[in-house]
Amino acid sequence: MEKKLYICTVVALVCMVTSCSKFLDTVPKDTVTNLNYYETEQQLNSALAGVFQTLTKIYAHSFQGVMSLDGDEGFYNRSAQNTGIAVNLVTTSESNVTTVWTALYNGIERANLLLANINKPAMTEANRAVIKGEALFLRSYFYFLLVSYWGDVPLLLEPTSSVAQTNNPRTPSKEVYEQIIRDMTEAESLVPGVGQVTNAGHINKSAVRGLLARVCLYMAGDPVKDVSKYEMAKIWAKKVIDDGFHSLNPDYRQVFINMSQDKYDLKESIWEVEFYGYSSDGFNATGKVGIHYGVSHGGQDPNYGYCYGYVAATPKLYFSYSKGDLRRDWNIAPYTLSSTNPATKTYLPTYPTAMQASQRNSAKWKREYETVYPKEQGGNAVNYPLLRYADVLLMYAEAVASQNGTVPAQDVLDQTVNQVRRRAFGNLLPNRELIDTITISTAGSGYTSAPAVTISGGGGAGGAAVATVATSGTRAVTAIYLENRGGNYNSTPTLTIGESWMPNVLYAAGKQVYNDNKLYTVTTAGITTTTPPTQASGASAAASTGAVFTYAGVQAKATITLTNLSEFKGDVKTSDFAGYARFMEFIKTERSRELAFEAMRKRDLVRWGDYYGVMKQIALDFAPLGSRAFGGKAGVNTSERDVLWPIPDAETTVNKAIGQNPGW
Amino acid sequence: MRLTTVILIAALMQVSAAGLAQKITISKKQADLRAVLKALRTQSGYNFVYADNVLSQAKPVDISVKAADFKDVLAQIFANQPLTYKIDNNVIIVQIKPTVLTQPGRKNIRVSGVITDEEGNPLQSAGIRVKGGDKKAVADKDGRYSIEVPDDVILVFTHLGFDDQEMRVEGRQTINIKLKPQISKLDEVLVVGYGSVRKVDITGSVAQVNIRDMAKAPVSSIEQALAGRVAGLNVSASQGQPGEEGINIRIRGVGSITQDASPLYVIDGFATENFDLSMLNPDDIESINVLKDASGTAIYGSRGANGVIVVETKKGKVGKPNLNYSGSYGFQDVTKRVEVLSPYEFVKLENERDSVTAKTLYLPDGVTYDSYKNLEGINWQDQFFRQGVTNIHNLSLRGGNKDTKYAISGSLFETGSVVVNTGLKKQQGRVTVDQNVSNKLRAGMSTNYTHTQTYGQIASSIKDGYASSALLYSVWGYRPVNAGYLTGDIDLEEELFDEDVTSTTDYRFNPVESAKNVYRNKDNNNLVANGYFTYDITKNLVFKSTGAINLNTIQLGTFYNSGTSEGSPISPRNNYGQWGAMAYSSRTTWSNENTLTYSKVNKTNSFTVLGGFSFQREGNKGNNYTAIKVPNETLGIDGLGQGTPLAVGSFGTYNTLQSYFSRVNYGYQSRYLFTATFRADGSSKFPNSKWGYFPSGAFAWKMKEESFLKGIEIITEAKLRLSYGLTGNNRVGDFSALSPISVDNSTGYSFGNEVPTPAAIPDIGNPTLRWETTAQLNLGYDLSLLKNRIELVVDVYRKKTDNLLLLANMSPSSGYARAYKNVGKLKNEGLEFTLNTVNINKHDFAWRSNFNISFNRNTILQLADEEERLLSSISPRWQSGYADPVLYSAAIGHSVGNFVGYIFDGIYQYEDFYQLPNGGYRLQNSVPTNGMAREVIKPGYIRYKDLNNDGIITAADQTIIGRGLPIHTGGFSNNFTYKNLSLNVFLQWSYGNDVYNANKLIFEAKAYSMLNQYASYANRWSPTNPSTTIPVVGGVPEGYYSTRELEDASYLRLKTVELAYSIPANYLKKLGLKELMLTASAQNLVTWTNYSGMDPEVSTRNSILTPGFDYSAFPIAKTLVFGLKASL
Repeated sequence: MEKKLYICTVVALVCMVTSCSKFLDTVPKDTVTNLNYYETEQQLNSALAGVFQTLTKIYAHSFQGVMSLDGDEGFYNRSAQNTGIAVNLVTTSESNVTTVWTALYNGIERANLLLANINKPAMTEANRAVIKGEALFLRSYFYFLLVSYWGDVPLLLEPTSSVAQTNNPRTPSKEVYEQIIRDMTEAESLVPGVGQVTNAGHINKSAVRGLLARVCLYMAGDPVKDVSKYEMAKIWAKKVIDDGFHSLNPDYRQVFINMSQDKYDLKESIWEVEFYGYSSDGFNATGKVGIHYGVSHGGQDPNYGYCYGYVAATPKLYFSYSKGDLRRDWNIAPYTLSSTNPATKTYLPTYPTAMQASQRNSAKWKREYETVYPKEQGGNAVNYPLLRYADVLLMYAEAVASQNGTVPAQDVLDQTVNQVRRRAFGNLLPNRELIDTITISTAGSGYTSAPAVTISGGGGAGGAAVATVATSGTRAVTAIYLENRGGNYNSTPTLTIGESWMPNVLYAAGKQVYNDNKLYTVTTAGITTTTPPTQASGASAAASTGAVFTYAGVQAKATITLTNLSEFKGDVKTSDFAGYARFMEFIKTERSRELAFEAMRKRDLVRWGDYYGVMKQIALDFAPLGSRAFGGKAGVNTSERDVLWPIPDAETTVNKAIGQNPGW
Repeated sequence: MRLTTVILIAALMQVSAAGLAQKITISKKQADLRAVLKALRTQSGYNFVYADNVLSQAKPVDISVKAADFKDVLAQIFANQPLTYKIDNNVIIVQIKPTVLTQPGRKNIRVSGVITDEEGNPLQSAGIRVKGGDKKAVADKDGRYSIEVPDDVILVFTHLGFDDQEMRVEGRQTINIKLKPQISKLDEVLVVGYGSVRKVDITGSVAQVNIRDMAKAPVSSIEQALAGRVAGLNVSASQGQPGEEGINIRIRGVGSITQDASPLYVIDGFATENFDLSMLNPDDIESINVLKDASGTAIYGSRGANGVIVVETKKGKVGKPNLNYSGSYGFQDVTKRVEVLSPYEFVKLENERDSVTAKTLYLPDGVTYDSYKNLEGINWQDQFFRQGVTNIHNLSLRGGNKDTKYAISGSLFETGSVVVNTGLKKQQGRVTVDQNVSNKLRAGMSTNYTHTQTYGQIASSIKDGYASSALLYSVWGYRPVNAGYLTGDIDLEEELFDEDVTSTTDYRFNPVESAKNVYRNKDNNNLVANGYFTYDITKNLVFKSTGAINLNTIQLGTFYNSGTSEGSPISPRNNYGQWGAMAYSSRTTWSNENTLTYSKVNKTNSFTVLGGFSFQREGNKGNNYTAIKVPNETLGIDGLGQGTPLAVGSFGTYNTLQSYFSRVNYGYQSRYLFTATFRADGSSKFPNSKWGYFPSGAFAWKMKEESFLKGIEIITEAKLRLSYGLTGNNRVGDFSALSPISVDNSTGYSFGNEVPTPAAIPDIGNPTLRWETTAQLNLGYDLSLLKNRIELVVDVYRKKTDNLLLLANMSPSSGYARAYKNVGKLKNEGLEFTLNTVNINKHDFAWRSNFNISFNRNTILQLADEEERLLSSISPRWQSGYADPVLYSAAIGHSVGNFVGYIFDGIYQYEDFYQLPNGGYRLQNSVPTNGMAREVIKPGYIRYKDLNNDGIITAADQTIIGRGLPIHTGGFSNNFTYKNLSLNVFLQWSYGNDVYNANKLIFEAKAYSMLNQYASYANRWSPTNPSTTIPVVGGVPEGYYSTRELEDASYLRLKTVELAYSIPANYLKKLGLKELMLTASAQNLVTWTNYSGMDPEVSTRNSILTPGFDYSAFPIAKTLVFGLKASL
C-alpha cells in the first residue's frame, strides 16, 4: 500500500512537471507586441501614424506659446512668470525642453522601427515606397528640429536594440544636416506629388522640397555656415514654385480662418500638423491652436470658447507693419474680449504707444471662426502650419540674395517677395477696394451709450465698424474702429452713426435716435406719430411726437476713405535697397510680419546670428514700459548660450557619452 | 512544566535476580530517610518513587530490626514521618501525608463551578486541588468540576499551558474560574510556511502579533491596528479616508525603489501578493505571524524578499458549540483641525493683498474693519467635518467533535466618517469545516466572502494639476465672509461657487455642497475559498494537497451632478454637462499546492523533511467607460446609459508561477536546531530566465540546555539564532519582458479629418529580465528570565538586494524614457528589540507589557548605469508651478525618499535693502536673492540659503533637507487587570521622519485672492513684527520647496485603549451566559507631535520614492466606541 502511494506520488510529480512545462509560457491578451507587429500593410500605416503622432506631442503644447520660440515677435503675457522657458530662464531640467527632446527621439525610434520592418509585409511596392518616404522625411524633420535647437545630437538610424543602449554619443551638426538632406532627398523621390494628395497632413513632394529649402538655408547659416547650401536652397524652393500648383490665398486672413475651420488649402498651406477631436468627443489628438495663442477669454461666451492668451505681441512686431498692411491687425488682436456672455470686443487705440501696443494678444488663429462646438479649453482640432507657400517664396528670395550677396533682381522680387506683399496689402483680393480708414467728421455729443455704426452702399459689402463714446463731459464719440474692411467697393459707402427716428414705432425710454443731425433721448416711452422731433433743446410734446424726445446733443458723423489697390503699395523694388545687408534687414522683418507666431522666429534669428543681439534689444525696448516691462524678461534672461537649448538632465544623467552644450 | 513538580524516578540500578525479598535486616540511628530507603531497596528489590521535594520534609529515622517483615519495617519507618506510602506492585510510592480534614471549627462544603479560558472556552481535564492537601478533582468536558473541601481552604486550579490560579473558598459554593494562558510560550506552536513549528524550536526570526490586544482596536481592518505591534513591521497610513487609507506595510525597510515593497500574504496557507487584509474580519483571526528573515521567507522564494505575513483564521474546536456576539457603537472625530483666520483678520489680509478690490468687496460705504471685528463668519470646517459614527457587529458559532469541527461567523461594519458623505460599509461571512474522513484522511474547506462599500470623494485628489481642485483647499480657503454676508445679499453657503472668484485656474467650490452632491461609490467583492485534504501515508509521512481561489472584483462608479464642481453647468471649465464613469476590475488567483512531510523524532534527534510543488495563476482584467451630457441627472449613475459615451477602456493580463520547494528541520538533543530550505520558482514574467533558486539555512542553539546554564534558575530560556538565505522579488508587469505595441484610437493621428488611424506606440521590453535577489543575514537572541516573566528578543539583520527590478531611466535619445532593468543595489540594516514583561502578577491585579522598537537604515548602493541619484517631483502634479521642481532624492549612499530643497534662511529685513529715492527698496547686491528678480524682492519676503554663494538662488542651492523614512518605530502595549476590570493601553510611535507640509505653500503664503489662510498667517512679517518665520503677502516665489514647510513628523500616539468589565460569573448564570463583557475602546485618542498639520501620519503622494507629502489629506479620525461581548 505504502509503496504504491510513493509510486503514485512520484508519477504524479513527474506528470505535473512534464505536462506543465507550457504552464509558464504566457501570451499578452490585451496588446500585440513587437514580436508580431509590422506584418501587414495596415500595420505599417498604423505605425506611420504613430510616427506622425510625435508632431501632435510637440506642437500641441510646448511649441504653442510656452517655449519662447517667438523671439522678438511675442512674449509670455503673464507678469508673474519668473522662471522657465516662457521667460527664457532655462535650466537643464526645464520640462518643456525635456518633453520636446524626448518626444523627438521617441518619434525617431518609431520611424527607425518602421523603417527596419518596412519590407516585412507583402504589399505593392508603390504603397511601400510612400510609407518609406514619409517615415524617412519625418525622421529627418525630427533631426532637423533637434539639430537646429540643440546643435550636435546623437544620430541614430537604427532602432534601439536593447535596454542597455543608453550611451549615445553626439554627431557633429554638419553630419546630421548631411544625413537630413540625404534622407529628405530620398523621400522626395518616394512621396506623391502635391496634386496627388487631398490633405495637408500626409507628406507631398512640395512639403519635402520646401523643407529641403529650409534645411539648406539653416545649414548655410549659423552655426554650420556651409554657404554652398544657398544654391540648393534656391533650387529646392524653385521646384515648389515651378510646380505650378501653388499660389497664395488672396486673403491673408482666410489662410488662418481655413485652419480654424479645419479646411485644407494645399495651394498655400503645404504641410500641417493635423489635430483632431475636442476631448469630450473621446478623441484627444487635440491641439492648442487658438487656445494658447489668441485673444484671452475665460470661456464664458461659447462662441469664443476658452483662450489662455499666453502670448502678447511685442511693440517691435506691431510697429514693423506699415500703414495698409492687413496682416498687422490680424496677427495682433486690436481688441480685448470681456469675460461675459456674450463677450464684447473692446477696441484698443488705433495709434498706440509702445506700452499700449504691448497689451495686444497674438491672434493669428481666432476661436470665433471655429465651427466645432463646444469650444473646449482642453484642446481643439485646428491644424498648425509647418510649411506655407509664402514661406517658400520668401526663402527663395533670401537664397537668391544670399547666394551672391546681392539684392535680387526686380523680376525675382516680383515673383516672390512682392507676391507676399501684395497679398498683405489686399492687392490680390478678387475685387477690389476695401475700406481703408474712417475719419470722424463730427464727434457729436450727448451719447448715453455707444451707438451702432452701419456701413452701406458703395457697391461692396462686409464693412463693419464700432464706435466708442466718452463716458463723461460732452459724451462725444471718441473713436470708430474698423472691424471689417469689407470688399468690392466701387464707390465710397455711407457710414451712419446711431439709429434714425422712425414713424409709428414703439420706443422704450432711454433709447437714442437722431433726426436732422440732432440726437434725442426718449424720455417717455410711446408710439411715434409721423411728426419727428426737431427742437434743439428740451423735450418734444407728446401730443405731437407720440413718445417724448428730449434733445441730447449733436449727431456724430464720420467719413470713409477707400483703399486704392491699383497702386501696389506694398511692392518693393531692387533699387529700394542699398545693398545685400539692407535687403536682408528687410527680409528678416518681412518673414516676421508674414510668419509671426508660426514657431520659426527663434531659429531664424539664430541662423542669421542675430539672436543674442535681438533679444537684448527686446530687453531694452521693454525696460521703460512700466507695468508691461515684464515683457522684456525673455530678453533680460537671454545669454549667449541660449542659441542652443541645453541637453536635458534626463539625458545627461543616463547617457554618459553625450556631454553638454557650451555654457550650460 | 515546573521543575518542582518533575517526578524523579529513583530506580534501582539493577533488579535483584532473586526476586523480591521479604525479610529485612537494618539498623540506623538518626539516619537520613533517603539512605534508609536506599538500603531497603537493595534488600527488598522494591522501587521507591517520590517527588524530589517530598523527602526534604522527612524526619531522621531510628530503626533496628533483624529479618523483619518488609511491610512491618515500612510501617515502622513511616510511623512518625509526615509522609505516607502506598505499595503498588513492586513499587512503593512515597507521598506527603494527607492533611487531617476533620479539625474543630471547620466544616466541609461542596464547591463547584466552571473552568474556562479567558474567552470562556471550557477547559476539559483542568485540575482542582486543595493547597497543601492531596484532595483533587478533574473538570469534565464542559469544564465543570465539583469537589468537597473544608470551607476555608485555598483551591488551586491548574491546566496545561495555563497559569495556576489560587482561590480562597471562603464558604462559597460556586467558584467559576478563568485561567490565563501561561506566560511561557514554550509549547506554543507557530504557523510558518507550509507547516508549523514549536516556538522553542524556531530557528529564524518570526514575530507574533498579539491578536488579543490587537482585536481591541475598533477598526474595520486589521491593517489599521497593526502599527507598532511587533518589531520589524512598520505600518503607516497615507491618510484617513475610509477604505482609501493607503496603508504601507513594510517588513524590515523598503526592499525596492520603483516597485512595490509590500510583503507576501499567506492566508490559511494560500500565498498571494495582492491580498487585501481588510477582507478579513479582525474577529476571525487566530494568529498573525510575521516571517522576517530568510530562514522563514526563503520557502516562499521569489516572493519572499519583502517578508511574509502568515495569517491563520479561527477554526472550530472540539467542545460544545460556542456562540459569541460582540457589538459596538461609537463616534469618530477629527484628531485635530487647523484653524483659519477670523473674518476680521481675513479682511485685513485681503486689504493688504489688494486694497482696491478689498474696498469694493468688503468695505463698501459704511462698512469698516470694525464691522468684522466680532463677526463669526462661516466656519466651513464646522460644516465639512462632522461627528462620524461607527457600528460593529460580530457573530460567530464555533464547535465540533472528534471528527468534525466547524466555525461560522459573520460581521457587519459601518462607519459614517468625519467628512460629510464619506464612509464605509462592510459585510462579511465565513464558514470553515474540518472533517476526519478516516483515521488517515482528513479534509476541510473554508470560504470567506466580503463586500465592502466605500463612498465619498477622495480628499487629496487633484484635477488638472491645480491645488485649488483639492477638497480641503476649499474647506480652509473658502471665504468666511464677504460684504454680502453682512447685508445678507449673497449667501456663500448656498452658492456652489464663489462668484467673486473669477480666476479660471482657481477650482474653488463650495466644499460642503460639493461633498454632499458627489457620488463616488466603490464596491469591492472578495471571495476566498480554500480546500485541503491530508493523508497519513504512514505514521511519519503525510501528504497534503490544497486548492485555493480568490476572486476579487471592484466596481467604481462616479457621478457628477449639477451640484458638483465637475458637473455644474455654471462652471466655465465644464464641457461634460452632468457626467459619470464606471470602472470594473477583477482579479482571479488560483493555486494548487502539494506537500509531503516526513517526520521522525526520537530521544536525541528530531527530523522533519518537507517537499512539495505548487502552481499558481493570477489574472487581472477590467473595463471602464465614461458617459457625458447625461440628460436625467436625477437618475445618477444608473442613468449613465442615457448620456453620450466618451471613453471606453479595457485590459486583461495574467501571470503564472510554478514552484518546487523543500525544507529540512533537524534537531539534536533539542539543543542544536538546523533548518535548511530551498525553493525553485518559475515565473511567466521572465520568459528567458524563468527559474530562480532560493536557498536558506538557519541554526539555533538552545543554550539553556547546556550544562553551564542549566543550573542558573533565573534563566528560563536562552537561544541564539543565526540565519542566512536568498529570497526574491518578482513585482514587475506580467509582460515587461516584451515590447508592447499599444494601439490607442483616442490619441491617434488623423489624416484629412478622418477618424484617426490607431497609433502604434512602442515601449521597449527587456527580454533579459529576471528575479531581484535579496540576501539576508540575521542574528537573533531570545532570553527568558524568571520563569518567563521577562522575555527578551533581539535581532540584528542585514538585507542586501541585488539586481533590483528597477524602472530605470533610459536616455531619451534611445527613444524611451524608462525601461525595466535588473540594476541597482540596496541595503537595509536594522536592529529589533522586543521585551515582554509581567510587571505585576498578584492575586487580583496584574500588569503585563510588551515593548518593541525597530531601527532600520536604508542605503542605496547602486542605481541604473552610472546614475548617482534618482530625483522625483510630485506626481501627479499637485500645483501647476510645482510641476518640475524636485522634492525627493534617492542617491547612492543615502536612503530612498530623502527630501531635497532649499534651506529656509529667514525673512528679508529692512537692513538687507537700499532705500531708493522714491521710497522703495532694492535688495543690496551683497544679499542673495530668493529666486525672484532682485528688484522685485521686498522686505518681508522669504529668504533661502545661498549654498554656493553666487548671490542668486538656483537649483544648485538645493540640498538634502530631510528624511522620509523614520529612524525608529515601535509600540508599547500594557494590559492591566484588576478583578473583573481590564485595561489595555497601547502606544505607538514613529521617530525621525519628516513630512513636507505643502498646505503651508497655499495657506501661509496668500498668493491667491479671496482665499482664507491658516490662523498662523496672522503672525506674518510686518515692520512691527520682524522676527517671524512667515513671509508677507506674495513673499514666496512659486516652485521652491524649502525647510520652512518641512516639519518633523515624529509622533507618539495613544493608538488603542480598551477598558473592559466582565460581568461576574454568578450573574452570568442567571442570564444563561458563559461570558458577558462590557467594553469602551478608543483608537487614535491622543497624538503627541510637533507637526503642525492635521496628522503626522500622512503621505498623499505615497510611493517609496515620494513619502511624506501632505496636501489636502483626509484627516485621520479618533474613534471611541462602546461595546459588549457575550458568549453562550
